[in-house]
Formats: sequence, C-alpha cells, structure tokens
Amino acid sequence: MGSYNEYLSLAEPRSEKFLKKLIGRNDIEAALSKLDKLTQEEARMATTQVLKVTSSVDERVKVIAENQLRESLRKWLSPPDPSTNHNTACGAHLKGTATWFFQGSIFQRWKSTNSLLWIHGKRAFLICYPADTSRRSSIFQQALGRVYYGSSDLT
Amino acid sequence: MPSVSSTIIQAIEAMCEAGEASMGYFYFDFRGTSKQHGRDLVTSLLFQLSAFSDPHCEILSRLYAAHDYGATQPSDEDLTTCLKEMLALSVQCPIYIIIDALDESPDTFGIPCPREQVLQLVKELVELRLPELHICVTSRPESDIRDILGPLTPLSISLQDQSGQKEDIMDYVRSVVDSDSERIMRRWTKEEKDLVIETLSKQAGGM
Repeated sequence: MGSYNEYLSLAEPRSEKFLKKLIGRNDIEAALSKLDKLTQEEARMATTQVLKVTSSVDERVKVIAENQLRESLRKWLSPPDPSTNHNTACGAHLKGTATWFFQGSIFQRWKSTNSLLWIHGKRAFLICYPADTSRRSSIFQQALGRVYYGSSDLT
Repeated sequence: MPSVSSTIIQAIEAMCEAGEASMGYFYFDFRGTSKQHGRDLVTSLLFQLSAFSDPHCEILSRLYAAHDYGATQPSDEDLTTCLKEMLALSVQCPIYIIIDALDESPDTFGIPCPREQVLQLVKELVELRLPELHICVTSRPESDIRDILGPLTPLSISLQDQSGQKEDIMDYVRSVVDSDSERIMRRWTKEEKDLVIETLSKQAGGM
C-alpha cells in the first residue's frame, strides 16, 4: 500500500508535468480537437448511413407488402383482365384512325364537363353484301372473313 | 377494325403518364364469359383504380378486411359502394372510365338481365355528378341502351353520321384487301378489289 502511495506521489507530478506540457502545446491541442471533430463526423456519417439503409429496407418491405396485398386482392376478386382486349384492339390500329373524333368538338366537351359520352354505331357492313355471281360472292365472303377477323368491334 | 374506344384509351393513357389523369377501362366481350356482367366490370375497375394511390387501395383493403381477409365474397352492392367511394376520392385529378361494347353484355337471361344491371350501374355512376368523373360508353344503338343512356347525356355520337369514321373504315378495308400478307386476296384482280372496297365501305357508312 505504502509503496503504491509512494508511486502516486512520484507519478503525480510527472503526469502533471506531462499534461502541462501537452496543454501548453498548440499543435497537440489542435490535433485533439481535430480528432474530436472527425470522430463526431464519423458518428454522424454512420448514423446517416444506417438511416439510409433503414429507410430503403422500409421502402422495400412496403413494396413487398403492397404486392402481397394486391395478389391477395386479385385472388379474392378474380377481376377479368381487359388489357388482352385492349392489346388486340390496338394491334388492329391504323395510323390516323379516329382523328375525326379527337379533332371534333365532342371529345373536348366531354373532357371539360363531368359528363357521359355515348358513342354508338352499327356493324351493318359486316353482314350486308351483294350476293351476285358465285365468283363475286365468294370474294365478298373472303373479304368479310378477313375484315371481320381483324374487327372485333366497329365501336 | 380498330375500335374508337381503344384509341380513346390510348389518348388518356398518355394523359395518365403525364400525371394529368387516372383511368379505368373495360371491354365487354361476348366471347369471354368473365367479361359480360356488371360484377366483372366493377371488380376490374376496382382493381385498376386501387393501383392509383394508397387511399384508393385503402378503400379496397377495408372491404377485404371486412370480409375476413378474403374468406367471404362481397355482394354486388358492397362492390358498387366501394367503387363509388374510390371515384369520389379524385377531387383534383380527372378520372376517366371507358366502357367498350356494352351491348356485348347479354340481354337474354336473368331478371334483371346482365346488360340491364350494367346500364343501371352506369346510370348510378353518372348520377353521382362527380365533378372530375368522365365516363365514355361505346355500344351498338340497341333500344334498351338508348333508353337508359340517352336521357343521361347530351353528348352522344352516331358513328354512321361521321364522315371521318367512314374514311377510317374505307382505309381499313383497303388495308386488309391490299395487304400483301393476304394470300387469298393477292389473287384477286384490281377490279374485284376495288369492288370489295367500295361496297364494304359504302355499307359501313350506312348508305
């Protein structure tokens, strides 16, 4: 015990001296404060990084949950998929088709009012054709077959 | 024949991509048994609309939860109420509903028949008078459809009256008849082709 106290009494002035020496030195003080700054900065960077990862994980979990919900809803309601009809209809699309409609006033009026637009038309051209000579008749039948094939609907 | 509705859908799709609108569409189809009833229309629209935003999806999720997370099926009324709720959400952004070939919903069986139910649904939606809701229906001019839709709107177009539509049909018939990929039609003489184009196009115009 006694020797320890002795050691302290010896060590104290030595460490004091050491500290005094260090504190007095500007370069070490600057280095320490720089170290402190760097440590803080690193801590901040680490926190930011963690936050970033957390939020991206969060985002991904949200997407997965949404997809799962959508899948469950699909199974539950089994909604028909109209995109198949749409793709077929668009496949038969000709350039310039229906420009008369978009350039006319009705489309604009429909867009600017909270209204119902009813477009109606007949498919008469698909069933009426002249029954003439057999050659001509068969031509019409073939033409109708082809026109009708690409024509699910006039409207 | 390219349909008017598919062209309208494409035009509105462009608006949706620009973030200026939302849309739900449906094609009635006499060849597809799952595409003939009001319930088919409503479930499809609900599913499409629920993809728009979290609040839209939230409405459908609540219905799902209320049916024991899918253990039981919602009634037609439940689904219609849900659809109306979703449509009422869009207070700023225009929402478009395009319904193609309503006449392909059958009018032959059931009281009320499927088509009658669809027409009543369309009527209910229109009568909500939601400021941002725009509905477009295409169909043949059947009298039952005319009776319900006619009084609902001042905006109706008869395709037979449109010279533009006649030109479209003529172009379409010409493109089919002149197409090099048509094996049979390649053998026709020019006179025969012209006769086919002229006759079919004339009839399309209702002349």
